[in-house]
Amino acid sequence: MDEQLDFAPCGYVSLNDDSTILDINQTLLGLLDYNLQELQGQHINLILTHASQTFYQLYFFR
Amino acid sequence: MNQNTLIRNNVNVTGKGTKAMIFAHGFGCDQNMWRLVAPAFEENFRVILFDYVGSGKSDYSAYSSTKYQDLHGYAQDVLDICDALDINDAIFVGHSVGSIIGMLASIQEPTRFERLVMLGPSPCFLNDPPLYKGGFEKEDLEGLIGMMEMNYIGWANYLSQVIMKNPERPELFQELEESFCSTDPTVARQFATATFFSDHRNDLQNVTVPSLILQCSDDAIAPIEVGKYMHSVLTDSAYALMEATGHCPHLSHPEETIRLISDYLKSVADQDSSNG
Repeated sequence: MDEQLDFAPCGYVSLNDDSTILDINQTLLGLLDYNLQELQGQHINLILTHASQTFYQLYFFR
Repeated sequence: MNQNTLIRNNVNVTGKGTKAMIFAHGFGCDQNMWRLVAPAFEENFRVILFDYVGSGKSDYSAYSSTKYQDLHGYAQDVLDICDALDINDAIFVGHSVGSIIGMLASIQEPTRFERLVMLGPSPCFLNDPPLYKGGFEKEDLEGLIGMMEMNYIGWANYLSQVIMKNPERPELFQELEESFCSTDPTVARQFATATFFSDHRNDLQNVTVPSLILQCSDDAIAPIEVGKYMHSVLTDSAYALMEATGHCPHLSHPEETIRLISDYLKSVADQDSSNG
């Protein structure tokens, strides 16, 4: 990942159509207290609360 | 024909058939959600699309916090539309809470409906241990309502206007805005409360219209246990587990959705004709 994006002051995550995490920057990994290997290839639900999973399904995953 | 209802609920009628097929959207969107599914039925049905009051391009001045405090107010929208278009024996296809609303309407006026097709229905989202698992604790639902109050969708729409900066191509912005299904945040919060804190388990036994339950795999909103529960309590219900994941199979897996609805309608039509 581009270094500026990796350490940008905001979180960055990219997903595919199946809601699998493709890439995630260091800023967000730090906020969530995960390392890249733990999240890359996992479903986005892994980092969302149940309420947020619902919000995501209602508004985003369509 | 009551023109007021048709305008109030932004009713759109298409299709070449005579039998009515009503498509009812769920929480957080509008009739646009059916764009990949409804056209497939236009050859054989009179296809009815509408927005509940407070959603989409409905008449927001008809919204009342009292009337729409629970799902019965929304069920009245469906019955008003049936009355305005003189609909009886309709196929009612509802998504999520839209299907529960149709079910309530069918209890009030069963002759309006011949079949109910329910995509991802849930009669009660809250867990009620030990016997019922709706999938949500009270904190989960309060967290969801809290996120709606922060009005992310409103922010997204505002930012999209700023970012797009294509004033000569307003259709781009309109498309984006429609993709977010923006609704009035106050109405959305009240609809969310009416939806997610409702408990219609006791109404299931009063349903007389036969139904098809289409259950998605891996749906955090209406889990498989809930679909099976509905199937076990609803009289004359069929149940199909979809390959589709998530909660919006009519958008994510339209072909499978169309196929399962068509197969069901064909199988019950064959039954009816063999019974004479």
